[in-house]
Amino acid sequence: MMIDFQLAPSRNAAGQIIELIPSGVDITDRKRAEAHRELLLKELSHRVKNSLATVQAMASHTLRDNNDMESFRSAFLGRLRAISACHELLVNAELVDADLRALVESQVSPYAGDTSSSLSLDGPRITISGEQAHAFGLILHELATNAAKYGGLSVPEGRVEISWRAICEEGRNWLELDWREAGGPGVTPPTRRGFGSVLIERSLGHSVGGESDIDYEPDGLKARFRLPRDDE
Amino acid sequence: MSSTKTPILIVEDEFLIAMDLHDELSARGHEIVGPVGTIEEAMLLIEQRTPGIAILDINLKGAPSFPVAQTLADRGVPFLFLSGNDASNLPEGFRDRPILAKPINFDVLSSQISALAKS
Repeated sequence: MMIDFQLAPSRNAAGQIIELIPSGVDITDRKRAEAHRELLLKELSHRVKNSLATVQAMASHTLRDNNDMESFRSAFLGRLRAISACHELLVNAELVDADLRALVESQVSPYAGDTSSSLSLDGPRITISGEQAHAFGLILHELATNAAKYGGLSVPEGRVEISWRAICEEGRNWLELDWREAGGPGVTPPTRRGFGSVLIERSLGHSVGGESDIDYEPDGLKARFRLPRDDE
Repeated sequence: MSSTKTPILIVEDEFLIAMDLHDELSARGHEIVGPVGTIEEAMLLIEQRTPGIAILDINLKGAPSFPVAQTLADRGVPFLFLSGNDASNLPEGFRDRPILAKPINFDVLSSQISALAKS
């Protein structure tokens, strides 16, 4: 227990101190709240710095792939919005876990146009960790922008089907998500590997112990992703 | 600007930052080992082939990278730390090691690498 202890002088008419009046206030809660606030501030500062470092890296990657200002502008701002959407989702989920469907919707729907027929989402309610949401959100963003430019979301008759499920393999729990494009213009594997495709193929393995498998099939891109799930 | 061909090991868990280090240092003529994002993978790479220099993010998914730093120190491999936080909490044995704050200033990093390569 923490006490804020005070001695207040009591004076007579001549102004002489005749008595000291002691008083005490329990300030345990106030001190605890102050310590908590300090901890939160430190954590916040850490997160902001990390976010800025991430944004710096994203800017450099986008600069390397885009020679003219206009293409840099649209690619970079799109990626910045994707990072921001991941953050927003996590804040709404009270900083713990993110709902997978909400993550997919926030990253892909903006690129699906007005007609809902081009995009289908199918899967149970599953939450993923904040870390996974950040990594996977950016992948979904890259897939969506690619589909909108060259693939299943670039023509009216094209479509993207996204489905997911929880699976167990050799005693380990995974979230498995399939991304299947169809009806778009013919697919050819990228000749120049931009950062977007590097991110799609490699970031899950590096960041969160996941797996990515990408097939550039002629009728549309097919991709399968796996994220480890610790809880069950 | 450095022109060392000494292989540089990159240990950084955040993919975007790891790849940025990889691309930027490759473009400046360095050979890169990794990048890897975990202590286990870093140990494995060091085991396979001792790097000339290493860049170590201090915080790898909540775990400090100090075991990797110790292994490098034991083998006489010079290294520098990367940190998103202020670095006042380095353990005793590592306080004299160079430390670079994120977001990374690549010109500063380059000169630190040159200094390490000469050490």
